[in-house]
Amino acid sequence: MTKAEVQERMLRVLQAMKEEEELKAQLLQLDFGVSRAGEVDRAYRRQKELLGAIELIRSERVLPVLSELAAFVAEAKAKSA
Amino acid sequence: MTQNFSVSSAPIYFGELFGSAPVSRDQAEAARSLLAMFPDVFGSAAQAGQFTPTPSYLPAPPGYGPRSLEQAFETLRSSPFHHHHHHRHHCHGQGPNLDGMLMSLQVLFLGAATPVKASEIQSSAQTDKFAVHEACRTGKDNPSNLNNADHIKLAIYSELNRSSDTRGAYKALTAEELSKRLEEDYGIKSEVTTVKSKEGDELKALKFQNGQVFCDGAGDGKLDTGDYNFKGAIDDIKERYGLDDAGLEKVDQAMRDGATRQRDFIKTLEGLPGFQQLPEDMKPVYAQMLSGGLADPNVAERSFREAAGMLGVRQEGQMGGGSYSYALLLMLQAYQFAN
Repeated sequence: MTKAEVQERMLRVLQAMKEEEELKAQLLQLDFGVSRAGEVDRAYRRQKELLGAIELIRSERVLPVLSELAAFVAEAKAKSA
Repeated sequence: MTQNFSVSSAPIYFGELFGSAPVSRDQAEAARSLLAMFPDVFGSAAQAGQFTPTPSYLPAPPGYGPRSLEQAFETLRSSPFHHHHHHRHHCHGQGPNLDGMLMSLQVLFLGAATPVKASEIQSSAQTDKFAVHEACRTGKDNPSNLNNADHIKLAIYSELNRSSDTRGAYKALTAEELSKRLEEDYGIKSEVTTVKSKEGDELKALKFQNGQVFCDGAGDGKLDTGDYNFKGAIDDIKERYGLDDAGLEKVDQAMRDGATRQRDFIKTLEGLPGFQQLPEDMKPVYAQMLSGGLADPNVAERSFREAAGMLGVRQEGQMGGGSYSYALLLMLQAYQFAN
């Protein structure tokens, strides 16, 4: 793997994490202290959606790249050993 | 040098990476081994196998991270322990409030902060009740406005009090010198400019990046403790945050320590492999990962959760600082091995 290829993967991870941060910011804005039951339900539904979206980012965009980099690092170490 | 990372351990490693369980001893050991690969960057403590908490508490500097000093204070204003003291006007005890405040100043940069509600913030357009003349020009307009800038009030007050220069009974500095010292000691940037009072007088002033203004109310060309009602403003800060003089000094020291760490942080960041090649909009994310717990994932994770609890932040689905550091270290290592 070249440095450019690693960098391209770094950017993908960073972009995904940036998006995750934005979703987490939305999570923090949710208001569960509302008085009407319907509003509480809406907040919980939105929380579930956001958590799902975060999980998707991690499982489908971040972890595959990190696993690929981990394999590359392990292989490089084995060669240099 | 011990290398604990391998393909066979990867699934477990990454399986736990984003989980809510505390970071395991093996994971911490793996991170330590990775750190030891970069003694020039992470210091001799990492090489010697001793975790140092310093990098994990590095505040992301303004421009690189989302939590500047200003935001830290804004968050403190909206935090539960602040409200507790705000409604107990005669309580100046230290107790958990000071500890909480200092801790928050340290760990807010891990990303655990509560967003500030707009309603919590006093409008900067409102008149600053402490912008009065303590000396000359009594009765004339004083265009200073430091509303919502408790950190700036405290920093200016401390800098002026450390000055050996005086104007009469007041401690003084030139605008240029005050601006320089605020940036060096606190990382607070300002420009030296002039502002016009309602009477049309051109007064020398410091204008801060958040639009706040501290001007030479006396019109003598120097900025001093008589140009603003610092006594009232500092008493107000002490009351609202529940601090006594010793507590105020500790907060001030924490702010200065933060600025020192910011400088170290930038130096470290710019020396990391691949950092300079990153697009500008990605640098803050990278910096945030670094400030999220590079040295000791256990400490970072714990601090993150404690701070989140203290600030009333819901933690579901949140990734702690330690996880960021694993991803970052892996990327750094891959970059090192790449052709």
